[in-house]
Amino acid sequence: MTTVIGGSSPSITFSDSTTQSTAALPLTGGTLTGALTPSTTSGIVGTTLGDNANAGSVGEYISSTVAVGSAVSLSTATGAFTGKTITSISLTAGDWDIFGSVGINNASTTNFIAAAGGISTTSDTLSSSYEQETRFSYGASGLVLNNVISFVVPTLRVSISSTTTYYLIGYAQFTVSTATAFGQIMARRRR
Amino acid sequence: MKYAIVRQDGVTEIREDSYPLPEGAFPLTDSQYDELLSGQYILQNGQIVVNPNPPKQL
Repeated sequence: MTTVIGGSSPSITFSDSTTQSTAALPLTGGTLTGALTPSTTSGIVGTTLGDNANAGSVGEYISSTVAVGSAVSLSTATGAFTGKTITSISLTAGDWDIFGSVGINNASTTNFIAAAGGISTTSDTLSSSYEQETRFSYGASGLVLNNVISFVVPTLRVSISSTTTYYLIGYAQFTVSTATAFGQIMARRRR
Repeated sequence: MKYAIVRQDGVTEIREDSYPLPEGAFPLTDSQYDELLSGQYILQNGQIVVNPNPPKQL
């Protein structure tokens, strides 16, 4: 089959017999303005090399962790206490899923009334929505735990047009001794 | 790239991203990254050392 672009001289002609030059460069850059429809079974092949997507590419991954060995101190909770930033990540414009986990460490006599964690755009502040945090309540007399507690926080999908910082927040209300918070926040660029 | 960075408040963050290494950060191998995540080790004066106060074990 021969395809002619133009129709009058000069024109460009492609045919089935056209062979790619060995000097040809791979397709790169530019913008595909229509939909890209891969095979429904092959899809888009993922990496098998144990490497990482470039910054700005779909699949980009960002994480920040504060391990239990470097946990941040939580204030003895009062009504005004809104949480403590454990760590944060800065995301550039894009459509991201953010997920994470929070751990609360305790001394032997720490008496917890409540513990919570979540992802927030405000430092030292839990989201105002209960649906966007994980929370445990231990009753008015509290509970003395014999080890750390750790829990996942709700996944958050954000589509942002400018660089934004997301904070991992830990919270504990307690009446005796001390408590610290640690955890991990991770984000994957979905598109 | 995996790296550790000490914040101004003294807390060590263990991070991974695809950006150039920030100023003052310590690049980590996969095994060093896992060691720090375990809580059994900490970063001290640019060295990974055994955590003198490791997390309690169940």
